[in-house]
Amino acid sequence: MEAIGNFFQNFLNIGSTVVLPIFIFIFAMILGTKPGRAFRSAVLIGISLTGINIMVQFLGSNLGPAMQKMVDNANLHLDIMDVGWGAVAGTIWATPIGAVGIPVLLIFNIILLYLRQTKTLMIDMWNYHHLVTIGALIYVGTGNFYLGILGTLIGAFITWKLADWSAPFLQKFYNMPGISLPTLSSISSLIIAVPVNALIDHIPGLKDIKGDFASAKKYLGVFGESSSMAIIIGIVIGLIAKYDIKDTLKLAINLAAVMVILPKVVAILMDGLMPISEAAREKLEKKYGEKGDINLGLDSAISIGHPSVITAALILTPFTILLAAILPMNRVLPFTDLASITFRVAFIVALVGGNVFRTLICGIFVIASVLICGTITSPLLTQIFVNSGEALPKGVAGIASFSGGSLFITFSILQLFLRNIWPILICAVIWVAFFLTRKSQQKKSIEINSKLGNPAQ
Amino acid sequence: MRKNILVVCGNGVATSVVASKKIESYLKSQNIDARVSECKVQDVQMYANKVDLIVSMPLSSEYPTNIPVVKGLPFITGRGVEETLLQIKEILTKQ
Repeated sequence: MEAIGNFFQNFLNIGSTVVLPIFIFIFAMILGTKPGRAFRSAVLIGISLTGINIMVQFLGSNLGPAMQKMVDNANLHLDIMDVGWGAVAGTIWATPIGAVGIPVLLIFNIILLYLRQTKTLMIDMWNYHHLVTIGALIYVGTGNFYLGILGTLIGAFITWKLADWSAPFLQKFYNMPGISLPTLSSISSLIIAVPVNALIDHIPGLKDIKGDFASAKKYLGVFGESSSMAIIIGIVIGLIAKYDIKDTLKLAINLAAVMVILPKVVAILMDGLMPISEAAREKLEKKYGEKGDINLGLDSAISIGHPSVITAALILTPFTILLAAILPMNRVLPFTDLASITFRVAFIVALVGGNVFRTLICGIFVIASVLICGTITSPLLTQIFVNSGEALPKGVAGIASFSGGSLFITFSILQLFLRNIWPILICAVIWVAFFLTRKSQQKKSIEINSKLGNPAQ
Repeated sequence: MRKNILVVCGNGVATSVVASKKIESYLKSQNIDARVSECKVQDVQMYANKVDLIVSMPLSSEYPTNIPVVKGLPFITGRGVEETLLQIKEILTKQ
């Protein structure tokens, strides 16, 4: 396997936007896709990677100078650019680990299902990139391809075990039997949220607050719409950076453009991946679909529509920006991934039975971890980005997102492989706290959600 | 008259793309003139008044009550896709 990785690395010098499509084409053909469709997939993926690069450079050319000014004028070191999970996913696919990621994970899932080590049938192809990111980060951090693969497998194992653990209360909350949600970006929040929630259970007064946040939409609605949110952020940055009116407005519009256009470009990536994902899913379902006691592992996107999730994400958005500014260790400037806060809180909402107040408390801790882990992991992520042939825009110190290395589970595994003592110890404390509280919290959550009856469908 | 369908998803990027491609080609084969667009849950209000049908990937979402909503889950599990497409067609032709 290392041979394939190195072979691929040699070709990367041609440019990942050419090489990855070639690889995708071959993989699609192996899975039995017709040549016409495989070719279309390959080209679409190349197009989307190119598009993502264009958008990231554009974002960087706008934010870079502003970041520099914010450091100069306000001593605000927010110079790591949040490019969003989509851009990070695209970058990760174009690495040696990314190249072999899907087949390796598919085979691993089948093996674990066979050995009855997991009940989750992983048909959520889109979100394989979170798992592959673990390996890609380890690879670039240690230089060892095999350690990278091992890291991805460990991450996959943990994720699917957690998916099995969370399935009972998720199923109850969403009234959907037979599924689990192994999306790492959402599951990662639970490691932190579970102990925090257990703590709240023991604080008199705090534990009974439900809170009525229905009016949140009225006042904070503007943070829900991507374009208006981006305009506000642009204006705020312009003010802090002491831009004149003209430049502030220009910045605002350019940021809004990225906020709306970048997701569209990522959608092209998804369109290109579709035939592969469907072929892989069909093969998996044929082998395991009908077997009893299997949970279909789906994209956590199906869980983010609940009103409590939307309300919590709405309130957390300005909080995130504030946290980014005041957390001493943080250098990430939240932007593109503000839209995905819903994914970070979706499972917390299910854990606490829809209680928005508790979701906010847990959510703040989760967001803090996302920002700090993102800052610490940024050098490695930036290295991957640069390795793919992209130049770092001037004034931008690095890139990050709310997923990638910012996810607590990813961060923990990475630090373990990098053998950094202090991060390992701090992570260990949180993991132990999670282990000690997981059974009782799971039970409580199932109880709360059973009492809820059928949630609005 | 051209029908407008909104597929709602988490990011407006991944799961909704799968659904909209399938819906588009199905409606084309049935000679129904329709335009399918994607958006994320938070942006629904922006598009809601110009839409004839919503296909929702997220469960438990709240939508304007005057617009028919179809569950989009079958498009990601792969089960019940035909029934859902039929359901969409019926709603559109009855309008």
